[in-house]
Order: sequence, then C-alpha cells, then structure tokens
Amino acid sequence: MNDEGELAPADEEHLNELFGSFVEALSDGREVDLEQHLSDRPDLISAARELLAVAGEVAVRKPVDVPRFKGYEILSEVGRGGMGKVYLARHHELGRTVALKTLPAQWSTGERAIKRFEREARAVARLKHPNIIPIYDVGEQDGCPYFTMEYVKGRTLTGVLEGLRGLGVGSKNLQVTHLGKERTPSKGETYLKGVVRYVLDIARALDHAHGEGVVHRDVKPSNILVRSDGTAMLFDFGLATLEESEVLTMTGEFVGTPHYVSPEQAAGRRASFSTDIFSLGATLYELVTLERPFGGITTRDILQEVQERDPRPPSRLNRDVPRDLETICLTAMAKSPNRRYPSATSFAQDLERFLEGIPVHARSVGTIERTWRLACRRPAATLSICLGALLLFGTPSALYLQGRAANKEISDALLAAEESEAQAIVSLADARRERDIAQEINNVLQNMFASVNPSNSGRDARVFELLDNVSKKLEPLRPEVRAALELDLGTSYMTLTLMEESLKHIDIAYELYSSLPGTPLETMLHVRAMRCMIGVQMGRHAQALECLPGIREEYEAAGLFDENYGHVMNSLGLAWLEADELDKAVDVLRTGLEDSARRSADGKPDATFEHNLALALSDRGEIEEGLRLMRSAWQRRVEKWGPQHAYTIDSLGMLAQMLKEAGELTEARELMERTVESSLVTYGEGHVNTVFAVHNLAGLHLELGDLDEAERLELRALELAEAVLPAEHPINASIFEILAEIVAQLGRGDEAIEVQMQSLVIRQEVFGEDHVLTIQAHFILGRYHLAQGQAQEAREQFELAREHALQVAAVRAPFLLLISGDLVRAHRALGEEEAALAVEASMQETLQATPR
Amino acid sequence: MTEPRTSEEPDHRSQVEWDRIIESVGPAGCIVVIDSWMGRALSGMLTAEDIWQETLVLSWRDREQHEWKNVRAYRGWLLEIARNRIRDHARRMQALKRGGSDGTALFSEMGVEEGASLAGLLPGCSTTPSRISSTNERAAQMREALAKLPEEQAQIVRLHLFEERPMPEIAEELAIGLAAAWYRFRQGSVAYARVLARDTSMAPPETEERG
Repeated sequence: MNDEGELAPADEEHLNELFGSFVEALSDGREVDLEQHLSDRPDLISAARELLAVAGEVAVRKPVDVPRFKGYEILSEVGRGGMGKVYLARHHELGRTVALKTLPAQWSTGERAIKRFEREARAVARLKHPNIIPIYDVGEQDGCPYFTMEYVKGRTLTGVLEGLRGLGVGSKNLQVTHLGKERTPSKGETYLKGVVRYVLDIARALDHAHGEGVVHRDVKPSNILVRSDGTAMLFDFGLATLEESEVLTMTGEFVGTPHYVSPEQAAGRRASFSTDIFSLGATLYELVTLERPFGGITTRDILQEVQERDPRPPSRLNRDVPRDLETICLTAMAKSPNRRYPSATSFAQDLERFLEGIPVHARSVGTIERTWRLACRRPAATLSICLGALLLFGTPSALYLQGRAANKEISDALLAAEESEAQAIVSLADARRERDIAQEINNVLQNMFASVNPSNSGRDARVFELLDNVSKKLEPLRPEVRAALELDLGTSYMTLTLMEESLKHIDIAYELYSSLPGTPLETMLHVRAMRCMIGVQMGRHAQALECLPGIREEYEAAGLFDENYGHVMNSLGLAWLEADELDKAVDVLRTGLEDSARRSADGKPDATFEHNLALALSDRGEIEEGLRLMRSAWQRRVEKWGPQHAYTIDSLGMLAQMLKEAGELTEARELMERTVESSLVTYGEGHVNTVFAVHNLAGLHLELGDLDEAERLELRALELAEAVLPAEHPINASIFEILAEIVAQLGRGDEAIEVQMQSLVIRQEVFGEDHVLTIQAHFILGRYHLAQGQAQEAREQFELAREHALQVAAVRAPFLLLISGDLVRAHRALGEEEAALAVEASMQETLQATPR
Repeated sequence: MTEPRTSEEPDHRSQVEWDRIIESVGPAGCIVVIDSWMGRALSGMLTAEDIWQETLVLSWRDREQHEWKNVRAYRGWLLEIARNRIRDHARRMQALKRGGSDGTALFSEMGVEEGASLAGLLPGCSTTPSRISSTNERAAQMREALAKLPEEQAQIVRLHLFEERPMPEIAEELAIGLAAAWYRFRQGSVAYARVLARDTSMAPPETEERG
C-alpha cells in the first residue's frame, strides 16, 4: 500500500481474482473465512471484506434450505410476499394439512417484528367466523415465528381477477359464469351480483373482526380466498392490531400493499375500522371494473394518488355498473373516514340491499344537500335553507303528509258531528279533501322515487333529471297539489343553483296559491319570501331589497317567528351586505341571531347567522368581534355537521381569510391549508370551492413572501379552474392577477405582463370596461409595463383606467388619484410634459373635491 | 476457501426437492440470461419468462435424463434446455415466414393448448403466481441494473456472473488478458451492486399472493 492508501497493482489483481472466488463460493453455499484465507496478508482483509459483501449482493444463485418446523412436514411453498412465505404442511401427529405462514428471513430477528407477528396470531385466533380462515397453532422455529391456519383450497381474488382479465372481454361483458366453478349462480344472477356476494362475505367477516376489536389493515384481493363452494374468506391479518394495544408501526413506516390502503394509512396515520372499509371498497372497485382505483410506478406515487386523487367513477369504466353499486363503492372509498360507511355492518347492509334490488342508503356525492359559493371575500349568499331531505321535510308537501293527518281530521269531524250535523258534514268534507290532497301528493312523490329504483328501470337518474321529469307531470294535477309540488321543485332547483329554473316554478306556485281561496298566510309569505331570496342568490340584491323588508314586517306582524322567518332575516342581511349597507346588515343579522337563539332548544344561535354577522362586522372594521363570531360559527358547524361538511368548510375558509386580513398569517395559513385539504376531500378537485381554497392559500403565501410556494399553488388553482370552470369565469381573472403579481415579484416582468393581460381580458368580457375590477386590471397592467420601461404601453393602460374610473361611481377618489399619479409618470417618461401637467391639474381638483 | 458444508444431496426427481433446487438456481438470473440470448424478432413473439416456464416443464419431464452433480451443473443443464427452446422457436418462426410447417414439438406433445398455462404440468405448487411474479420482478430489476452499466462491464458481468462461464474462456473471447477480465468483472460487479441496491429501494411494491 502506498502513502495514499492505494493498494499495489499486484494486490489489486489478487483482490480481483479473490472476488471471483467469493462469488463462486457464496453461490455454492460455502462459507468464506477471510482471516484464514488472508492470514499472510491481514492488510487486505478490510478490502476483501467489502468485496465479500458485494459478492453476497450480486450472486445470482444461492442455496435454499428446506424449511423445518417441529411437528410439521413441509410439502411445498404455496405463496410468498413482503410479509413472509406460506407453505403447505402436514401435521405429523394429527395428519392434518395446514397452511403455515412465516415471517420473511430478514424480519425474523428483532423484537418489533416478532411482537407484531405474535400479536397477529393472538388476535386472529380469537376470531370464529365462517368467512375468516381460522388459526390453529402459533410457534417459533430457530428464531423464526410462524403460525398455521386452515388450508383452504380455492383461488384468491387476485387469481380470480387475473383470470377475468385474461379473458380479454372487458369488464362490461363479463358474465357470472366467468367467475368459474366456485359459485353456482342462481337464476338471473349477474357478474356484478356475483362479485358483490364475495364482498358481502368479507364485509361480514370484518364486522365480526371489528366487533372483537381487530382491524385487519391489509384487506386486498390477495388476502381474500374464494373457496370451491364460492364462499369468500378473509385471511392474513398480517398487520392486525388490537384497538387497545400500542401501535408498533412508527409514523412514516409504511407497511402494506399500497393499491388498497386508505388515505390515512398512506399518510402514516393510525388505521381504524374505517381503514378496512376503504380497502374493501377498493377491492369492490377492482372487481366491478377490473382496474385498480389508484396507480403509479413507485410506492410513493401510488400513496400520493391514494391521498390526493378521487378514483374514476366505476360506471365510466364499466357502464353496466348501476348507480347504487357505484354509490356503495365510492362511499366506502371516501377520502374522509367520516364520509364512509360508519361500520362494516352498514356496508354489508347496503350490499344486501343492492342484491335485493332495494334502494341503498348511501347517497352519491352528486345528491344535493346544499350548495353555495365560497367567494374570495364572502359568500355571495349563504342561505341557511336546510334542504337536506330535499322534498320531504319542511315543505308544504310534507306538511300535508305529516301535519294534516287525515285520520285525526276525520275523527275530529266525527266528534263535531255529535254537536252539529251541518257543521260536521262540512268539516268531514274538508277532512276528506285534505286527505285526498295528501294522498295525491304522496302518489306523485312515490312514483317519482320509484322511477329511480334500479330494479324498476335500471336507469340512472340524477337529481335534476328526476326534477325535470316531475316538472313535466304537474300540469294535470289539481291546483292545491300542483302548487305545493311546484314550490318544492323550486326549492330543489335552488339547492342545485339552477336559479332561473327555480324562479320559474316558484312563480307558478305563487300564481296558484294566489288564486286558491284559503291559502294560509304563512304559505303565501313563504312563497313570496322564496321569490325574493332567489333574487339574493342571483345577485339581484337591489330587487331583493325591494321586497324582503316588507316580507319581514309581515312575518313579524303575523307573529310568525319560525325557521322561514329566520331564512328571510338571513337573506335580508346578506342583501344589505352586498349593497354595502353595513349598519343595516349588522342590525338585521344580529336580530336574526338573537331570534334563532331564542327558538333553539339549547339557547344557542344558528351558526349561519354567526357566520354572516361575522362577515358584516368584519366589513365594518370590527375585526375582533367578527373573528370571534366566525370561530364560533365554525366550531358549531363542526359539532353539528362534522369537519368535512360543506357548511363547516365554508366557515373555516372564511375564518382563514379574516385571520389573513387581520394579519394573523400563521394561523391563517394553518386554517387555509386545512380548508384546502377539506375541500379536496369533500368536493374533490373538480369543484369551484376547491379552486377558491387553493387560490386563497396562494394569496396567503404571496403575502408571506413565499413566492415559490405561492406560484406553485396559484398554478395549481389555475389548473383546477381550467378543468372545471369556463375560461371566462371571474375566479380565473383573480388567479391570473395574483399569478402576475407573483411572477412580477420573482423578477419576471415580461411574463407578469402576459399573465395580467389574461386577467384583464376576462374582466373585460365578464364585467365590461365600466367596472372597478376591470379598471383595476388596466391599472395593474400599466404598472407592470412601467416597471419594464414600456412607457407607451403603460400610458395606454393608465389612460383607459382613468377614463373609465371617471365614469364609475364605485371608484373612490384615492384610487382615481393613484391611477392619475401613475399616468403622470408615464407621460413624463415619454417626455409628454404638457399632458402630465394637465393630469396633475385634474388631480388637484379631485383632491379639493374629496371630503376630509 | 473452506470445504463445502456437508449436506444431503438433493434429489431433483422429488417434487419437494425439485422445487427447492429451482429456487436455488436463481430463476431471475436465468431469465436475464435467456433474455440476452433471444433475438429481437423472437422477443416480439415470446418473453424470456415464457421460455423459462417452458424450460421448467421440460426439465421436469426429462428429469430422469439428468445425472445429478451439483446445483451449478443443474443450472447449466437448464440453460442448455432454454437455449434449445430458443433455437426451436426461432426455427419455427422462420419456417412460418416461409409458409411451411414448423415441425417443432410444442406443447401439443404435452397435452397443453398453445398459450395455456404451464403451471399444471409442474409439480405441486412450485409455480405459484406469487413466485412467478416475484421472480419476474427480480429479473426486471436485474436487467435494468445491467442496462445502466457501461457496455464492457455489463457484458463481462453477464457472461461470468449470470452465465457462469469460466473467466479464461471469456478473456479469450473478448481478446483481453485474464487480469484485465477479472478487473473488469470486479468493477462491473461493484457498479451493478450499487445500481441494484439503489433501484430496488424505490422499486414498485411486490405482489403478494397466496396461490
């Protein structure tokens, strides 16, 4: 060895040949004793040791010993994977053939691995269920833990799936006979029902396991065996954990097969019963589509998809998948555990309903509970109209069905007959009429829902298609019935934000009710209020303000302080807010808040009033109070609706915005990030609310000076917006504007100009030139031009901005002065001194005219 | 070097033993060798994995014809079968192009339909889907790692490590000295080990099955 530690060429040659002999020895299973072999050259042992290690890594063949387990004869290996090998074995004494499972060799040592393994065995040994493969024995051999379980002949679902894919017929052409001899199909059995039966078996198995406190954590097709009689059985609780035991898997240490893991597992969080439901849902997905719900090249890619991307609806991959089955599948696979089936039981029950042709309980994401927009600054109209049960609650139809119990009316009428025969006859006629109306409404509703029962028509009917169908059938109905249903329809269309359609039906209801003698006052008030509230939703605030105050007075005069009154107050408050009449908005909303507290059972106000009042107070500069109320609204919504509900996300997002405006940037960022996460879970990527959430977070990062992150987020917002919104949507203009600011701060001036131009184009198209936002866009563009030394272009933009600002009353003097000031600079940059002086003179006039 | 450990000689005619021997020969490495022997034209029709499966079937069928020496020799016998299968397929392909019949004994001899699974012809559960999957994945990793080496290193690693050809023979074929061949082999193996370790740490998840 020379002074630099390098070996002599002869020694290197010696090591080269030695390396070859190492490889040969290890391949043949012979041990290599370096000390003995290099006894005369101990200085080479260190280098040789490194080469020996390399030889061990590269040797392509190595002897494999027959595994030995006391008491068992190993017959053959039947499977292997990340969590060990499975052998077919025979118990010497009992003569029983079993499946024997071991840990992988590199995991055999180590207390953690052994503890996990033993826990699995103990946990599963407690489970006795026809759909769970039972454990017989637990042992350890030469430091290698193992357990034995019943050897079940059959195929795993992986094998079933591979066979199905190998047929090459596509998921939509599969027949139940393609499932093989395992299951004897009953008459009329379809492929989809056949695979649903497998999943139902496993859901029942999970139900049992969960009841014993055991979470499987690795449900997937290869852990589900289909027996020769067609029964599906769950096995390999390889990662099971008892609920009360400590979690040995460290945060970040991922164990499992990524294609079927739940988002929470992918994120390294603790698994729960809900985890198994997700994984079983993913298995169902693959069975009905023959495709895995999530893909990727590396484990990391797949885990990222699991967390961030919604799976494609199964019906897109297999058009034969009925809506109910798709809903079941996607409910089980909801990103948030709160939105999945709450238990394996409920999952199993819906599967049973599907098999029986009964409507399932799970609701598709598209089914409307409530919709609204999460504006950058405030929601356009946050109506608290609760239409959770769509047509059946809180509506005139429901009142007929529920409140006007025909039997009671008739019995009352009969009682009255004892006193006065004439009076009784009239009362009885009224009661019969009420009963008939109720029955007629009921018939219409039943027929309507029957049309979407898959067992009747097999057709997939979305909500609005359903509503459209009903709306065509109302004309022949008698006026009282039609009026009630028209109002219901109008309400439903409103929740779908189809305002024009909603207004059409409410107008019809109004006309009908107006013409019907004896229409209750509260009904008329309700109809009139609905017409006004739609106006608020449609942004026609001025129009709404013409009627809502009067309606409010009528409610108060009639002493009707019910939920509908609350809706009116809320809408009125929002209308005043939009009209920038802050004091009136605060006054109305505060009154509504206090009233809702009086009406509520627990004395707490309605969270919607808290939310809207918070906005109004914040606008009025009462930031602290606004923040307090918004926090309260959010918390109350979390308690009532859960963290993932749209209402809750709305309040969370607004709270984050308000914190940002109050300068509480750290907390604002945390809440905005949560808003984005929640939006992705609840709405998915393809929703305007998610776009807003990401866009707002980008704006926050801009304010924090984190330009790279701001740019990344804003580009993401743009990508999302482009996928879901038309190009001329106002949010795109906001995104471009912020993006321009970001790239400008990053020193990419020319790019900022291009991007800002895109914002301007959209604003021009949507709002026209005479709008404060368009004027602003001109102004900002002008500044970017100026920054790039493009004085001529800058002047053009400032001139346009100023010209239109002078026309628009909403443009305040400070802004006008700002525009004028920059125009002066542009003129001076171009050597246009005279023009500059003229503008300066006009600025003086503006200043003098501006009240101090 | 120490003497080999004393162990029972395996019986390659026994179902259980044969299964273990196949595992010992390093099936993934064999697939890599087969892949390097297949011409481009044949690769369009068959994969190296297919040839390996055929090799296994034939080796089990003709097990009585092999006189056991050791695992290395058995591996060599398997690769010889594989090479013959490649030649058979290549001849068949040429014959088909010319419009003639191929005369190659295919699986019809074994009572297997063309394209059907060969697993049923092999003993016990020796070719479970999970084993086939893990072998194929391992072979793919090895191929990719080799492909990232400089060609001269990849070549010598393939010839000596994978094909187990004697180094003097390789040196003569490559027209380099024996010392240079060993040097190149060591360098190539170290590089191969490094690439393999790096790539497999980010590898796709293993398939897990119970056949």
